[in-house]
Amino acid sequence: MTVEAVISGSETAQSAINALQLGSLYALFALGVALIFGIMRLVNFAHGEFIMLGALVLVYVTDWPLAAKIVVTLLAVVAIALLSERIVFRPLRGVSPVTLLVASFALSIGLQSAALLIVGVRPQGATVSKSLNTFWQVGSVSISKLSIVTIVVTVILLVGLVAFLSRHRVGVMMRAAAVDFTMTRLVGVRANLVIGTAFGISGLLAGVASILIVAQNGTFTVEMGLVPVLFGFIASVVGGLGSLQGAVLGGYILGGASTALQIGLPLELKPFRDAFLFGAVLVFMVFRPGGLYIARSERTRV
Amino acid sequence: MRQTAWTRFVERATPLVLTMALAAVAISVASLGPKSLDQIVTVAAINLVLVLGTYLFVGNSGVLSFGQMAFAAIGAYTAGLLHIPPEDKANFLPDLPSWLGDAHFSALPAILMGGVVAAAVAAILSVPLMRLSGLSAGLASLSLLFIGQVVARAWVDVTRGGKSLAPIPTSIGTTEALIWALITIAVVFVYQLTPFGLRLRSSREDDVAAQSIGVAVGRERGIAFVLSALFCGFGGALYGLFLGTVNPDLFFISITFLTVTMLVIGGITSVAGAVVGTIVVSVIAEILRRVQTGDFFGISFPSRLGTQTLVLAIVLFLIILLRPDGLTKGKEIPTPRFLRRRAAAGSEPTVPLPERVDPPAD
Amino acid sequence: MLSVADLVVRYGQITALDRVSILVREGEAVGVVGPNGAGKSSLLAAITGIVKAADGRVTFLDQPILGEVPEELVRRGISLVPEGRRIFGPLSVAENLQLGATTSRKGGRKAPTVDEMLDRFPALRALYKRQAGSLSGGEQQMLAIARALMSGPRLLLLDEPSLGLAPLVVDTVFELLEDLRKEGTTILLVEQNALRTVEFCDRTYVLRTGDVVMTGTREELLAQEDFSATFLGM
Repeated sequence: MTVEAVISGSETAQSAINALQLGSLYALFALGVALIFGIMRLVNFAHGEFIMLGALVLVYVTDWPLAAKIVVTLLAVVAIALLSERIVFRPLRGVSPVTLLVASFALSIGLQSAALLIVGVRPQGATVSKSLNTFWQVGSVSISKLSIVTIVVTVILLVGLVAFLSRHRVGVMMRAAAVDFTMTRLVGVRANLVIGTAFGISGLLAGVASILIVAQNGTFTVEMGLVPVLFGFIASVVGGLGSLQGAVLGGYILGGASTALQIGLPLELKPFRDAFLFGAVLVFMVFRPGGLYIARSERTRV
Repeated sequence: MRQTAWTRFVERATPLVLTMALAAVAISVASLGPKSLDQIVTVAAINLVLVLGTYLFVGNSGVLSFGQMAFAAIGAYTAGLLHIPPEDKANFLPDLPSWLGDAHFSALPAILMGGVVAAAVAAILSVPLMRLSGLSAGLASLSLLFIGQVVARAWVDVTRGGKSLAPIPTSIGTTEALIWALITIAVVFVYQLTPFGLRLRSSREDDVAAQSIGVAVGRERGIAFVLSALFCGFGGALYGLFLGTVNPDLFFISITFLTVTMLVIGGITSVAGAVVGTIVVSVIAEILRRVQTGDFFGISFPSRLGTQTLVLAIVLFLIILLRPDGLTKGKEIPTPRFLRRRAAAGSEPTVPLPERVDPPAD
Repeated sequence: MLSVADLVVRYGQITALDRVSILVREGEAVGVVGPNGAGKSSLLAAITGIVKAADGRVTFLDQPILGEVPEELVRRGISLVPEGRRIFGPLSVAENLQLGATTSRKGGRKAPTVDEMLDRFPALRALYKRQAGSLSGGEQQMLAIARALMSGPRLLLLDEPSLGLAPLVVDTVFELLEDLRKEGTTILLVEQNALRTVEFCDRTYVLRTGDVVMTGTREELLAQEDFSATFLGM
């Protein structure tokens, strides 16, 4: 084997891992969004703020032991998600999806402002675990531990979620609710239980996402929720709004495409990478307006 | 016959006149106040152009779009580039192609060009995009917004990227902005009464039914999309020439949130809704800002960064909670009774637009 | 058992039900017939809490129930077999049945177990693991009824159970309803199939454009010329 071949082989391996890591994060974002949308037709812009607040918690507990940090962050984000549902979305049951969406704007602005009140505009540092930012050396390939952790954690969450939805009583209720929410209530399933559980899981996914993001960037800013939620939306639209498999697949496709463009684009076009990425998304949507998995009749009027 | 034509005119024009009057009165009353209000009033008037531009497509088609502010960005950059004197462009944007570097438009043609270029881009995009509908369309249109921002940031030779396109000579004041707002109200209103507008609105109520009576829904949506881009382009251009600077984040998520929120707060299916929403949200935001700086009739409380937006978010939520269909419930301002009674004599019944009802299948 | 008094339901400007009053006594089978748009589905939607009534009173076992959420009504013993069946297509037959049994029951009713339900619907036993959406129309209707029975209802509401089914399957549905009636389940049946309904039910109400225009036992209604002319084409 020539030296070049070895280098390019290791680059390919690293790119693949990068793509999987990015895709895992996007899949987590998209799942959090799709779970809520599938059941209550709510496009939850505040999901990004759940992630942001998780990072904010990490700022405050950054000196705690790792396990404690993780538990506290997850609990806090789940609590915020549940409270948001109780205070903001429950009183709005039955209003149109567009009005719900604007309510989630309002929640998003409200949570950002609250964070601003607490810490101000300056970015804050936070760490999850220093050892995550080290590398394993496998032959000529150096693999970031964080990449592997991100991928593994996502896979575990996916398996757990699938098991919950197919085996657990409440999981079955959630699947039924995603098919026909009113009918689910008409067989006696409590709406609050289903929606509350959806928000709880969505909050858990957001909490995990904030830990992984902070592990990577080491910083907190008030606006840090925006990019995740937007990528989550795009990924779930690509996958098919409301479909959970679609959201996961959409996330990985987005991650793969983004990494491929980063490698493939000529240098002078690299700054335009995301423009190409979203251009490709639009083109894809034109050919397949319902996304990859068309979950169910998806006609929603304003 | 003359009676009928006259009464129909009254029936149709009154809501328009009242809506325009509402906007004009609100804006002029505000501009009578202290000089410090001028800026706020101008911003509100320009926002009104953007909200109405968004409404023209979203409100009439029933298809949500988060992408319209990308057209505002196109309008702002186009108008800005055309309005900056060539000698300044030679300084700040040495890499511009010469035809653009040498171009020098005064304010009005620059703004018009801003709208036209935005509309032209929309016309090209509308061919594929009009296949989309529903909430997926709304979220897919986020991609447009993203693309606009990425291009504005990365196309440094033309936009100066994150360093902002500046200095644009500032030539938009309260009066100009108000005139633009009124023209926009009138045009959007007239559009709704044209066969194009009526056909599109019928497809909003039920697109399958509309198709079955021969409405080419895609084409009608396309027309509204292009017109919407035209006015969003105007609005963006006005912003550019008011602020004197344009940067890639100006027409991104915040203003998209703001315009969509104004529209929904007011009532998403009427021009009156767009106007009321813009005025109400602008007024609330301004009051909160003043309270925060201790400038509201002497009322003030010590506050930190974020209080104002937090209270704004809560107020918006309460409005949504109390009036989920918007402050106008999505209806136009009705013709006052005394005009209607006179009009009723000898008028043929006008067919009201069907209201949205979803009775269970029976 | 169920008393509906002066019920008004509006959608925007359209009045779907205009002061409708209906009484269902314990153990009775009561029918509601009428043409499309008469307000039949709106009646059930209002009783089950899916739509808000603009006015009127509805009591079940002498308790007012207007304004209660659907799941609470199931808990109290009202169960609906909706129009179009609305089974959960992507879920298995088993999961559809289990969902019907999720409610807690008020007043010490005993609910059937899944196994008992499969004894009643032997056809479903063979389909137990199948995706509900892959069932035939008749099988789906049986599943919808079985799902509604899983909560052990005192009052069973059925909305157009014969719609779109082959005549033979319709017979099966009515035989099943007959069995249920004999076991003491109270039934409120909404149908377009007027003759079947009138023959099956103890009493039947005739709805037209949101109003009760006729009511009576099967003998009374069949003797009325109006009724026969309008609904039976005789």
